[in-house]
Amino acid sequence: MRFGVVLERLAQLIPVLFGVCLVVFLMVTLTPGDPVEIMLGNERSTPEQAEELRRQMGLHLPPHERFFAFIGNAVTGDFGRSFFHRRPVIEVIAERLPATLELTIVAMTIALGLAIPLGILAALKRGSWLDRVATMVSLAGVSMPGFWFGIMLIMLFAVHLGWMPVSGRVDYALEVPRLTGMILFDSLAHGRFDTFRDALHHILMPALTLGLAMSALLMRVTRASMIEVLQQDYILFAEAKGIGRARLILRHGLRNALIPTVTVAALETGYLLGGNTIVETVFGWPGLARVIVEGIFSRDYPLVQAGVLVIALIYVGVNFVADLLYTLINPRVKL
Amino acid sequence: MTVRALDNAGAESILAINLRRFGRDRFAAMAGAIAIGFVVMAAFAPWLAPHDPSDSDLLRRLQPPAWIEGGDWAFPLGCDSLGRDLLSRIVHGARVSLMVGVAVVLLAAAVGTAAGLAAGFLRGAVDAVISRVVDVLLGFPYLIFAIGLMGMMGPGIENIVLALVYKEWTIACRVIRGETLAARELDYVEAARAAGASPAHIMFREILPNILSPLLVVATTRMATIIILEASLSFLGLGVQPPMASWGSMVADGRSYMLEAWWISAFPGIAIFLLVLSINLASQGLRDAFDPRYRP
Amino acid sequence: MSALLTIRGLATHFPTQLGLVKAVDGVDLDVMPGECLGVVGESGSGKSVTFLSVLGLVRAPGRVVAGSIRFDGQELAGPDPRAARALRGRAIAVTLQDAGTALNPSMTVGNQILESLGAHDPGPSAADRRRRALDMLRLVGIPEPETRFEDFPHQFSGGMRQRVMLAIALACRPRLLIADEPTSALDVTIQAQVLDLLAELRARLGMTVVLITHDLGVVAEHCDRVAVMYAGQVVECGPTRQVIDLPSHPYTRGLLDSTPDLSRLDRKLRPIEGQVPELIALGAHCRFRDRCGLAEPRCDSAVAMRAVDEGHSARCVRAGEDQRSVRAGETP
Repeated sequence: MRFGVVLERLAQLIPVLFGVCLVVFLMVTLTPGDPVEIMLGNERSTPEQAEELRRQMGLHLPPHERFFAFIGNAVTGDFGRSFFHRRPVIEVIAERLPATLELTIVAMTIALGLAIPLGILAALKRGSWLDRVATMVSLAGVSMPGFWFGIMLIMLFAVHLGWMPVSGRVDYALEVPRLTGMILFDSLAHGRFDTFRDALHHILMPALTLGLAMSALLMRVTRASMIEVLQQDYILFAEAKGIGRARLILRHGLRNALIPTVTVAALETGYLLGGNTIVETVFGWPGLARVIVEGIFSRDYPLVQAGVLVIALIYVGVNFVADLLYTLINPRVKL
Repeated sequence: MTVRALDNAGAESILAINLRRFGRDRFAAMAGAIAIGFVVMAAFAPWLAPHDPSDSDLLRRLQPPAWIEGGDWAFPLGCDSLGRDLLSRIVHGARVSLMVGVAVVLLAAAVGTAAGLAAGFLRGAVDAVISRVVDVLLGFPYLIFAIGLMGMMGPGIENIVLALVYKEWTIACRVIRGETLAARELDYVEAARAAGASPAHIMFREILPNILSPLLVVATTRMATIIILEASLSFLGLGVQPPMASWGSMVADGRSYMLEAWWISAFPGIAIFLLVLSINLASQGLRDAFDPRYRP
Repeated sequence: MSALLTIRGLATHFPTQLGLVKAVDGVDLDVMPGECLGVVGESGSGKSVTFLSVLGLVRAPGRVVAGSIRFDGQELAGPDPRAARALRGRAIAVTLQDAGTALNPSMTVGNQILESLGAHDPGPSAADRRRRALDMLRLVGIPEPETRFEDFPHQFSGGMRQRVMLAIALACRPRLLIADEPTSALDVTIQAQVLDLLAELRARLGMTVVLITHDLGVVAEHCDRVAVMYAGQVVECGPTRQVIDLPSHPYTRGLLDSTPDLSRLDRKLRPIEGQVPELIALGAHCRFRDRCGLAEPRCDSAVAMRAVDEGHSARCVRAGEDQRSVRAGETP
């Protein structure tokens, strides 16, 4: 029965995926100007070369045929060749994606690790100085531009104090053979703890920059839903059973308060994925989000198009999983 | 029609009561005043700024703020790598932030309100189409979507506004759709419908006035987010182009001088932070005044 | 015979923005072992807050500010909150008005029973706990307890949920059950079933029961004694028959007159005029004075409980002196 639900949700996903592909396709197609001319730009080129490029990109076809060709190619992972990197776009993405995922996962861990305990505490001590400070700090957190906060961190801890590396993922001398491309994971898999420690050192500031604003937001959600839950009758009834305070707060309170938090956390991965463009730029993190920005400056449209599509697909996927998780932790949703 | 007269009076007074409650929250009112201060600063930038923001002088290159040795009170916050006065550039930069913020929020609210009212009130095929489009747009992380669009459309302040509005309207649309779905079940809407009012009349004259409060809260919160998004795009070099001063691009300019001239990045960032924080505080005050359940 | 639960001079106050709300203000009550005591009053009379105070479950910022609560000789209202906590669920259990909101929606009913057992009476093994939990479900009349064990609360009907809540409350065989409005969230047809079940369980388990309700009909049928509460105080207390036959406080009289009675359909129902006073700025006078048709100068000063008969007392200046005058309002 549960499997049926998964299938049903997957079916609902198809129109959204189709729409996402269409929007990404239109982004390039509806843009005024001939992409070929823009791409060739200042380079001296003959009309024959331009025609060849146009044919290569399928631009001679009518738009709807181009769209279906685009989807067909996308399904097989063929996004064309990157002009700047001079190799298939899919290779560039496969190389850069793990760095973005690693950063996103660590940032999310930091965000949840700070937000949930602080949100619970603020809700339990509602109106106390701790609640007020936490609320103020979280408001400051969402008001802080991430790129500025990152630069200030670099200026203080890397440039002036020299405690932290300015940029990069790991020291060149400590690189490990690639398994997943996520260095924290790969180094542990190889038993290289020195590399792990160095990678952790590198990822700390970018992940904090990305995670803090997110945790400010999640804290507010956790606090609000925890306050709501603590006023419910079932908390009073559970307390009347004489169970311990920790169990009361975690099993009866948090378990129910987490339901909205998970939903918001999934929605806010969009914030993390977008914020990656900023953080990867500021911290010289060789991830996919930065490649998209670079692709824009090098007019590498196939790469930009594919990069935006891949990130949107990840985002849709995360929300899909969160939706399933939501049905699992919330038994009231009819299965 | 008495039903309408009564209910409009009711709706206005709810908004008025809420706003008065907001006024009593001194902290939030102060934040609102600071935000308005920024608006005044932007409006009168040419008269308030001590210098021309693009007036460069290489003799003043990387000149520190006035209170640091080598500074000069004529250039209180110091100068950038081209010797331009930072304070004047920040004062002028407020124009870009606020112009984009206001334009995006207004345009998105207009489009989103129309779409949300239509979807929530007319239901059926209209709702299905609008909701699908919203679902698809929600499938994109905001900044990635804007970056993609800016990459295709090219830089410039109008393009920033467009790139953000293309996604922003979905937020107002969802709020309004939800409120409309709730409102159309209410007695006064039923009464108006029974009295033979047209759908357009009911949507704009009956329902809209009653959902102004949530719309106002959403609009202020979104304004804060949009100002950060504009700054982020400009920071990445996809926003306004030089010599126009934008806070985001000013922070980016300072990155190359982190070691010797921290102020170039620091001050524009503080300006963003202050403006966004004051908007957020005011917005929180509005929310508390409208819905006091979660007040600390 | 000494009382199982003795409450003396209990005061529970809630500071609010409008002022100090004296929700419970000087309550004296005895609950005798094995009896069923009905506690009656309108909402806001302090009946629920009184027993939340017994359990130490008054929500902040409210708190017990004075008085003594002794359970089986042990003081619960002392400075140490652990005293009340240790008895909760084990010796004193509670059921709430609506099982639909009192059961944790994200926890199977089986686990909610096991949790009570685990907290107080783990027994030799998990298998033993499970067996006892199933026994509880059987005891409260849940059909096929093995298959319902893993169900979530929303999968039960309203009446069945109420039974589940009873099973959870009674899992550790408490000596005292406080049933807070056990029927007011239910359909009329289910109400009788739940009350009969409660009576049956009380007899089988030898429990003492405090039945909090606003329905005098329920009290007349199920309770040995009744305490009537008004504006944070007990205004009349005595054996059920006596209180119903000879109400000695005008408020009790009013409650009876506003209760429908199928055997006397000719009688006119008479609501009590006026409203419950604000619990913030209460004077020293009788709290019912302003709604009472019989108010007189003596009502302007504080009124103590006065004995009417053996074990029957009322907080009225006329109580015990001239019954006819209190009953004057009765429609023939």
